[in-house]
Amino acid sequence: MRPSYQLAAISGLLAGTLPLAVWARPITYPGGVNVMVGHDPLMDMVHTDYTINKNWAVGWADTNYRQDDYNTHGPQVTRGWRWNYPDSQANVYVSGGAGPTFIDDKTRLSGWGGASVDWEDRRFYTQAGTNFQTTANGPDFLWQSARVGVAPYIAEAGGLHSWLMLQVDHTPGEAKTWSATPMLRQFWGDYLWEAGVSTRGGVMLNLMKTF
Amino acid sequence: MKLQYITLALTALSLPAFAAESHENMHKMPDGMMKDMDMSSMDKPATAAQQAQGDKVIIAKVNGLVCDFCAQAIKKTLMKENGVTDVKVDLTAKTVTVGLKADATLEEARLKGLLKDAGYDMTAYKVQ
Repeated sequence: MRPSYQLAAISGLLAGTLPLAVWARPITYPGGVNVMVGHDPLMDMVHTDYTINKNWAVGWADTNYRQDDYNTHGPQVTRGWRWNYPDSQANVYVSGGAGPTFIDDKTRLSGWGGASVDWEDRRFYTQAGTNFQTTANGPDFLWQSARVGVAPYIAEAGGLHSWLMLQVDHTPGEAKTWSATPMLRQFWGDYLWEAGVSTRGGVMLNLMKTF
Repeated sequence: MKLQYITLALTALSLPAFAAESHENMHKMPDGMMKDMDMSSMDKPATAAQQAQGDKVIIAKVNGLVCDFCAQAIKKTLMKENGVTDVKVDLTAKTVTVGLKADATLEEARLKGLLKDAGYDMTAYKVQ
């Protein structure tokens, strides 16, 4: 890993904000399974997480770094902490995993990790996170992001929940370092979906289903 | 750019939907849950669960209820419990209403533990 990535990753960890799909909660109720499918201008991903208890989930991550033409697969573990308040909730997630990366007809070993911190009530949402991946004799990837969101109306349980959100991404290893993505997030029952357009050029589409 | 228009359209379409949903749920809510929940409001009957089963009902006040995924997680957790026939989550009143079979029990400590396991904190408990 190049020094700049090491420094950024360490800084992110120290700041308490580090992988995963930063847009979703990987931990649900005990025994629950989350399937998250995501697409943005840089990558496609499918993450499946099984919640062991309120603090731990184990899963499998498939990530295709489309722009740089390599893909990574492997198991990952997530640890979560939650703080509940009468009208709000805060979460910190830290996760990591390892597995093979397939690049240029070669197989390399990769490790990845990250963290995300969020706070929300029924009207406002904030979130920040960092993800990194390092590959032996291969490319590294660092991604930091932050989100703010507002619900234009307050929906009840069982209703359609909508959020207008803005995500800002920082990817120091890419030609275009900064990007912003305004998006619509909606929940309905066990489903969450998001759609937005990135200033990087391209769309962001995310879908999550809890079983 | 087309997606931006789709996004805007989805938002616009969802606004009437939310209004109908919220209005409908307001009518479903017991009177005591129309305002901020306090202990006295827990004396009001939780009609939805009671009417559905005609059995015992427990109302719990819960911290951390902010979204529909919270409601879904709690419903799925509690519905696994023996004797539980119905679970209603009210995000406005911050309550979870549990319907039980007549011969079933769900002690305060047990319910608190189940909600804790699901990631939420029970702060008050009342058997109707």
